[in-house]
Amino acid sequence: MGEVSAAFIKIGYLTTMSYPLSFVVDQIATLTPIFTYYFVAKVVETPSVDVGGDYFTFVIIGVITTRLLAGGLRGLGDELELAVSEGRFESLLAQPVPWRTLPFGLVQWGFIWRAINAAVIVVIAIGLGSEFLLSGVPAALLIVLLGTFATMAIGNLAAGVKLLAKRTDPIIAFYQIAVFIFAGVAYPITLLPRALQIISYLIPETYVIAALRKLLLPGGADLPGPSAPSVILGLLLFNAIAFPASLWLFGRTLEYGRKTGLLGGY
Amino acid sequence: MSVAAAPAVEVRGLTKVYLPSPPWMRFFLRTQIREPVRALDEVSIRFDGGQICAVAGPNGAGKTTLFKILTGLLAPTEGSAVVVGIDATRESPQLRRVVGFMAGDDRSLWLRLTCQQNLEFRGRLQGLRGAVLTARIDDVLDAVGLGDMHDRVGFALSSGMRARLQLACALLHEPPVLILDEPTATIDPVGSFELLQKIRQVTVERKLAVLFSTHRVDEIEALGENVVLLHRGHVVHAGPLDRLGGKLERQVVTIDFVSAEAARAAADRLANAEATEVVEQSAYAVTVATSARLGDLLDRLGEATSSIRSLNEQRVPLREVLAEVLAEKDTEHGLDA
Repeated sequence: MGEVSAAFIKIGYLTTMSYPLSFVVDQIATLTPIFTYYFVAKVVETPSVDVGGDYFTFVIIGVITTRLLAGGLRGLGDELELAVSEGRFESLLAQPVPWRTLPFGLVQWGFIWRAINAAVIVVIAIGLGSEFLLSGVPAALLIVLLGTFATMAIGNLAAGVKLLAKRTDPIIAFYQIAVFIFAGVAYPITLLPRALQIISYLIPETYVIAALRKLLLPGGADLPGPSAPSVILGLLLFNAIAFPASLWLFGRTLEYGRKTGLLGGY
Repeated sequence: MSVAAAPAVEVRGLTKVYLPSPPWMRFFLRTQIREPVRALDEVSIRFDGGQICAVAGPNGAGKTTLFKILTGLLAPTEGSAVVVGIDATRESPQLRRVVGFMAGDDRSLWLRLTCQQNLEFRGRLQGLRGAVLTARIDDVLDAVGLGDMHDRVGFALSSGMRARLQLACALLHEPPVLILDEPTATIDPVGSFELLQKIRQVTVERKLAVLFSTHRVDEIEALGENVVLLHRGHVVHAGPLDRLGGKLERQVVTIDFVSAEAARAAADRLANAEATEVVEQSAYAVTVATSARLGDLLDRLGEATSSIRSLNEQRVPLREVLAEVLAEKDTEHGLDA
């Protein structure tokens, strides 16, 4: 398993670095929102609702969290689509590797890169005046890890659909819209009408973002939302059920594709 | 049954029917078929180790379906496929350890990476590491004639070299069976020849069982010692080419006579000859297709033999024989060619 992981990480790294211009442009693109929100925060220097400190840091936590968790959500589906469209998928399946390791193998480089990217965003944000509570970092990292597994469970289901429907990706498309609107990335969910807040509480990102703000914002402890320990417990329970179930369903999808001959098409 | 004692490939009553998606799923899963397609129909093949077996047939014959089943990528509808004692349907992970698979195009390679990097990735997936992996990479690159190309990126290789790199990838974990799906499909004739030479060489040196698909007549002829001819999912022929119902022994003989009378007389005599058919007759010449020996044919001509001016004898090209065999099968099954 370790050797397989190392193989996927290395091939991901080498492939990324073999497109240097694309690599640089992509990184610049991911940093753009930081500066946008920096100036938006200047407009709302005194927010109308409690954001646990300054609005810029509040948003940066939302942006970083969704970016990291998107690795779990989109990683497998995107990598599968790439492997299928570039013609490598069947050849990967023909390797003497258990198919259940593919979801882990294919997404690892994406996770690593997103983590590095998030660290760069934090450094830039600090340079622009953000303040984070260092004491909250260990628990925040644990929550991000658990949150990533939670979104990976959803991503595995979506990847199963993509495996059969090829370019169709209805689950992720709707899910990402829901995250952007309802998970409190750029504004507190308390601003949403009560009826819509129900949707917010169905999305794992909502809990992760809220817990991270409580842990990392200097004035975040009093923000509404579940506490970090309860989020950790909730994610542990969610992952204990959803993650194995998603892997099982992904395996069943591969078997269905094997039976119907849908694995290799694109 | 021990792995060593088992036949390399044993397929029994293998049937694969592709079904259209159920109506309620069609919005999400658009398959291109509306009716069930029987891609393989009770195919049975037995093939021992240390040999190259060419699986031939026109497009849609069922070659790729057969190969996907033999590599564990597709489950059969009925029947069994066993590769060195491992059931391809039930033991897919174990199967992939004993089969080296090479796809028909070069898209399975990371073309922006070097030969070494491509092989390192495959090797690590196969559980190889360190000095063993390095030695294996050197070995397989040497075996396919790319020994000095470790650091050459895929895009800088010719199509023939890329095919050989794919062959190296398939050989890396030292599988006893190689399955090569139209390995020469994208290569020019010279590159194809070189690749076939390499395949022959590694088959002998490593005592492999090689199953490879092709629709090129020259390759079928070159590897004619063991051919499975598939057509519309059926095995039309399995075994050496020269056992193809005696059809390969047929020849077309054109006899030129010194006079029109002699030609007419010869045509009359040959019209009733056994295993002989007059296919063309002109004023001074008669052309027959025959599987009879030339001596018997001349005996049949009797006195007309002394009027022969010249005689031209040609074997019927393999492609015509194959087309005829496939057409006969279509007629047997009541299908249009």
